[in-house]
Amino acid sequence: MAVEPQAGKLLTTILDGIGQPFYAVDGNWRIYLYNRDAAQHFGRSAKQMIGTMLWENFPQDIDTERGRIIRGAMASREVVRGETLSLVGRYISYVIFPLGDGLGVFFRDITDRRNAERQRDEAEEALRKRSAELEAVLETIPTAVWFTTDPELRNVVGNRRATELLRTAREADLSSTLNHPDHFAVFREGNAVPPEARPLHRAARGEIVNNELLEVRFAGGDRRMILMRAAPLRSNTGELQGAVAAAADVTERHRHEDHLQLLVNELNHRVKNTLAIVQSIATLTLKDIDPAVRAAFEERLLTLSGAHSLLTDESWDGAHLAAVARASLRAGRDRISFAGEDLRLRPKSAVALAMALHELGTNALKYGALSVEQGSVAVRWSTSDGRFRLHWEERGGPVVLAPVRRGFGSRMIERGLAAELRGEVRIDWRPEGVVCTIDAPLVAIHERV
Amino acid sequence: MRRVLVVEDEVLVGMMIEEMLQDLGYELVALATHLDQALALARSESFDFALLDINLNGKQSFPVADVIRERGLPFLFATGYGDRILDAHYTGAPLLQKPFSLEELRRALKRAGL
Repeated sequence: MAVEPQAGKLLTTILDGIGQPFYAVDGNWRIYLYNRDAAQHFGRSAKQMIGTMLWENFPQDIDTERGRIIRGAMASREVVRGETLSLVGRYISYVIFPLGDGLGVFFRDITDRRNAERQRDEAEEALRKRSAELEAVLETIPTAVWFTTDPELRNVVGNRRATELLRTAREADLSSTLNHPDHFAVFREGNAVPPEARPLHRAARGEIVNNELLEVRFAGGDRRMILMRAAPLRSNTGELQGAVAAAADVTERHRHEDHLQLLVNELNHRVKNTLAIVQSIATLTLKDIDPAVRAAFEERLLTLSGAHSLLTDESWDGAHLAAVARASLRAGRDRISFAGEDLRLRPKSAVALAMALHELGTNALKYGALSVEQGSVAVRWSTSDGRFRLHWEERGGPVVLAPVRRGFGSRMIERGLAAELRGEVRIDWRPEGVVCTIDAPLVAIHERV
Repeated sequence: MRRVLVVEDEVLVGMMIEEMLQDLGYELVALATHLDQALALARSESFDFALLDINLNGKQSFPVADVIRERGLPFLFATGYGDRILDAHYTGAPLLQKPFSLEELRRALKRAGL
C-alpha cells in the first residue's frame, strides 16, 4: 500500500487490512489511493499506479459498461453498487462512492462464486429437463408407477396410470389410497393381502419384489389381475430412502392364458377320449385273437396317451426327456437307470422318443435284460457339438440273438425315429445285451423347427 | 360277484370297461351314458361300487358321486382331463386316467379297496 505523503501510516494499515481491493481517484481521475489487494487484482504495483490517470491505464474501458458505471458515479456523486466485469476481466461486486472531488472504489472478486452459481444453474436446468423428460415418460407409459419416500408410505406420488389402475381421482391422496383403501382389496392366489404386505410397502422396508401376480377386487365386483415389481430406493451410502413400484394390468393376458389352457385341456380330453375309443374298438374287435397282440397294441396306445399327458401339462410347449423316458418305461423301471442333463424336447420329438423307448423297453422285458431278474438297462443321454446322443444299453440278460426279421418295433425305432429326429438310430444286437444309439442334431430335438 | 355301476358317455368305451370288469371278476349292473340316467340309477340301483367318467357330454358327474356318497357306497373316477378337474369336495378321491389298461384298472380297484 502506498499513499501520497499526506496519508498517514494508519490509513495504509487500514486499507491493506480490509482484505478487498480498493482504490481512489480525484476529480481528474488521478489515482491516489491503491491498496495491496488492488495491486494483486490488477497485477500492477502501487508504485506503478499511484499518481497515474485511471484511463491512461485502462483506455480501452472508457466506453465499456464498467467504464460508464464509474464515469456515471463521478458525475452523479452518488453511491453506486452492483456486479460487473472488472477492468481485468474478472467478475466483481463493487461499491463506488464519492470521496472528496473524486471516487472511492471498493470491489470484491466474485468470479469463483459466479462460476459456482453458473454451474449450479446449469445442473439445475439439466435436472429440470431430465425430470420433465422422466415425468413425460411416466405419464405416457401404460405401466402404473408409485414412489414413496418413507417406510410408512406417508408420502406417495404416482403417475396417471397409477390413479387409473386403482380408480382414484388424479388429485387423490395416494398415501391414504394405499394404506387405507376403501374401494378395493388385494389378493394373492386367492388369499387377502393386507396393505403392509403389498409390494410397495415391502420394498419401502428394503425388499426387492419381482413379478408378483396380484388380483385387485373392486367394491363394484370388477376384478383386475396386475403384475407388480418393486424395489427400495437407497442413497449412495445404502441408506433406505423410499421405494418405487410398477404394475402392469395383465387381466386380458391372464384371461387369454386361462382360455388357452381351457382349450388345451379340452383338446387333450378329446384326444384321450378318442384314444380310449380306438382302444375300445381294438379290444372289442380283436377279442378272439392272441391276447399278446392285443396287449402290445394297447401298450403302444397307452404310451402315446402318456406322452400326450406330459405335453398337455406343459401346454404342448414341450416335455422334459427324463419325464418322457420314465413315463414310457413303466414296466421294470426299478432296473432301469437314467442319466442325462435336463433336456426339453419339442412335442413331436417327445412323442417319437416315447414310442421308441417303449418299444425298446417292451423288447427288453420280453427277450432282453429285463426278462431275467439280474438284468438291467442303462439309459444315458448327452448333448455336445450341437448333437443329441442317447445310449440304451442292456446288461445281465440272456445271450442276444439278432432277429432274422425286423419287427414293427425295430422298424419304428430305426426308421421312424431316425426320420423324425433327422439323425441316425442304430440297434446293435450284441450277444451280451442290446445297445441302441441315437445321434441327432440338437436343433431337431429341443427346438421348434 | 361284486356289482358295478358304470357311468361313461362313450358307449364303446363303456363296452370295453364292461369287458375289463368281467375279466377282473365283476358284474356290470348298468351302463349310464347321460347324467340324468346316471342320477336315477345311482339312486335306485343296487350295486357295490361305481366307476364314474367325470365328463358326461359336457356335464360333470359330481352330482352322481354326491348321491353315491350319501348312500355310503364307494366309487372310482375316470377322466382324460387329469386330476385338476376334480371338484374341491373330491380332492384326493380315487382317480383313473383314461385311456387305461386292464392292469391299470385292476391296480386302481385294488388301491381303492374294491
